[in-house]
Amino acid sequence: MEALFVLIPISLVLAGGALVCFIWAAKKGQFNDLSSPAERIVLEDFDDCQS
Amino acid sequence: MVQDLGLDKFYAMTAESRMQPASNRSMEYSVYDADAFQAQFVKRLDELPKGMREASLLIEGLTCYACVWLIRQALEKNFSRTGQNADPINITINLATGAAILTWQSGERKLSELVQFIESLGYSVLPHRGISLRSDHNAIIRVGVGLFVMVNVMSFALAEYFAGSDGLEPGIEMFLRWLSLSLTILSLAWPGREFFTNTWRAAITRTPSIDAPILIGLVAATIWSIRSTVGGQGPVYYDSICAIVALVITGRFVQQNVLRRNQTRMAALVNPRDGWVLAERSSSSASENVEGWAPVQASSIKKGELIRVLPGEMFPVRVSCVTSCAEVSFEQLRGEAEWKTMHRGDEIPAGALNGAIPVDVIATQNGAESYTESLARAIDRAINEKGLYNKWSDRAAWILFLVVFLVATVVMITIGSSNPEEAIRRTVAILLVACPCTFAIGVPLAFGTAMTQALREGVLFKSQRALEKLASIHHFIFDKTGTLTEGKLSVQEWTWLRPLSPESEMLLWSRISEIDLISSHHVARAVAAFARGKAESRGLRPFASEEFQGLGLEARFSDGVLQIGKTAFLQQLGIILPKSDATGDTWLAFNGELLASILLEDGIRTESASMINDIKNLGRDVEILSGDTSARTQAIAKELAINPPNAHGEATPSTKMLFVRNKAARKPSAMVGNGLNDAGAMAQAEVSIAVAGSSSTAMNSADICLLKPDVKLVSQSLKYSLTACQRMRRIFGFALFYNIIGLSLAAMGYVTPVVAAILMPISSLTVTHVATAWSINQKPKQRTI
Repeated sequence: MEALFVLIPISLVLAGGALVCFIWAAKKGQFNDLSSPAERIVLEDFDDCQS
Repeated sequence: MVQDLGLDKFYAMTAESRMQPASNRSMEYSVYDADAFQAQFVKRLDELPKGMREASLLIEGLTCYACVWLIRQALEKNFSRTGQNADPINITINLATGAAILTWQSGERKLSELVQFIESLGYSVLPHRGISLRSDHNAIIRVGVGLFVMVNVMSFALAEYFAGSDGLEPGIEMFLRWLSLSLTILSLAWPGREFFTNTWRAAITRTPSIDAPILIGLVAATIWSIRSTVGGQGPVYYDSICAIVALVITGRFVQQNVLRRNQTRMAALVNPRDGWVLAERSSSSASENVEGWAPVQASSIKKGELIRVLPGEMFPVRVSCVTSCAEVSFEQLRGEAEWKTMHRGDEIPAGALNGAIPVDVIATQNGAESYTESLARAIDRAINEKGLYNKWSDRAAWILFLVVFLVATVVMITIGSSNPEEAIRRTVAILLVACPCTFAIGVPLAFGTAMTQALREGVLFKSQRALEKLASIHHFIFDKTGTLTEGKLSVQEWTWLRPLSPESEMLLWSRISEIDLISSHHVARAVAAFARGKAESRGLRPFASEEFQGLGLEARFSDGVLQIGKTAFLQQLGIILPKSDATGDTWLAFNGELLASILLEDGIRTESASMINDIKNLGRDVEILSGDTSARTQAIAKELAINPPNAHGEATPSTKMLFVRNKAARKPSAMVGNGLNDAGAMAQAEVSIAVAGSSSTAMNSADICLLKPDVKLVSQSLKYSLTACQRMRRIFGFALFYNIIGLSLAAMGYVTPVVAAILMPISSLTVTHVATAWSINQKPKQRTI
């Protein structure tokens, strides 16, 4: 059972890492427009992606 | 891909064909080129290439990404030139919000051109002035952190609950508790901080707030849990605390997003041209536009200045007419559908609409003193006087809290003397279990959902207050012109005075349908719109037209002259009118030969009658309050089956205001209107609704704006409000039920952390379901959130 004293903090650190990623993404504006990127890949012409 | 190409061509073609009828409106767009106007939303980019500018726009009417694609492609196809380094025009559009950033080379293109082009594709473009469209990043982060803490703390708590009666190994249990404690403090200090700030604010302003009872429950439970953790024994409530914080924050986040979106839409609806008129100033350097027409800011006009106002524009200030003859509409100002003829020296009030020809006028007051400006100030005052509004949910939460407080005191008194330890434990449980978090989650969600659904249908609720209040309205007071009626002349009757062969009739229709291209006279517009419904093909275009103020117009075709006008006009032309029983007062002649009699009237909207009927069926009173003549108002009332005593004509803006104030003092009243003349009355009413296409002033003072030109939405919004309030009552009933059970259990000492942990999510889930899964009119259920 002593392993728990190590494993639980590790799990928390990992989850904390995910949380930091989430905060970073939110600050970068990744959640501003959730609908159009999904459709863009279907409709946009390829030369637009290159530019 | 082939389909893509075909689609593209198709759109490019439609874009071109649509461009043409819009061309006579190009003047209206020129306001976009004025530097002073651009200053509100255009950035000049300093980096190379030189002359690049960046405009923030709002595009309305986007339905899916295909629209974004179409706009981008069409702009590129239409404006980019081969040989140049890439295209100088670039646009990025956020589909979710409609916010667009347009960059273009100011030396090569005019912004007005681009805006007009996008509008010709069928979207509406508005300047986007300094409103944050982005949902607040910090709010998303707070929700994320709250949920993160909740999940972790709950999993620790689960370990403890599942360990059963033996309990966890003491070392591990303490370890988990200390971890939970630190996470809970993180949750309270970061996402939960708003409970502290809101309670503080409420305490200062002495207003009931739902946050205070929640905060008391949270703090009591936290203190008790910390005591247990430090002392090494006793119950901890960390999981319930974190769940309350996370769920309440999430519910509010959803509501806030909906509100922000509604307010942005609202800001976009207010005419960007508000306060600007197209006019020629005598003193103007005419640098903006070759013809000398330039957008003029109304407030910059000085008394005594000579200005020339374009047809279709509003007079910015009170002016005195210099041109010998002018046709002016007071529709916006007084609600009269008639066009008045003004002569040299006549005073024209600010807010009146210029008819058919450019009119020279002298300003008789400064721009800043004008009627519209002072009206705007009066409206601001009236809205402020409505005062701080206490949300129903906040008041209900306080009543609940008082009950809880009473129960807690009783428990303290009865058990406190014999077993103080147990009494405190029970009190903490009571405060936690009875905290109105069910309410705090359910109510914002219910309103958010209602507003989202309403917006989808075209009803924009500006605030939660509007949605809450509308259900309690008894009197619905309607403006007539532009609200119940179309607000513009349309052909009601068309009688040919002599039989025509089908071919010649068709030929005439196709010609008449083109006359509004060269004339913006209101009669021309009405007649052409009617003819377009009849004509099978486009006909010969007139090459010139002449308008006779207050009388009629002539359109010259290569083989003759078409004359449309009042009786006096045709008599002037020497045409003898028959003494017929035709009701029309307008006549149509071709090359001097009288052909038809036309009845032009401001027709009732087709949906008005059924809307009025709906409102009456819901047990509400309907009244008409119009600036038009009493006779006309009575006639409309008769057609809409409204009691004659409930139809009031000849109301000036100030009598309208008084009327509504008196009504509102007796029974909750709502005002539905569209014009400048209704704005004051709308500000006086408990709830006001502005129909689509209203003047900016009316939009500003309204609580609810209709986005589609369909007055049926008035009764729909009432239904939305009724359904939302019904949901509220259900949520309240449920919260009460849950709290009574929780309270009695807690008072008897049965609420252990496990019970609290089970009650919390169950109640929240049920309330969330009640709040979101709903629809009006028994339509098939739609998933919304």
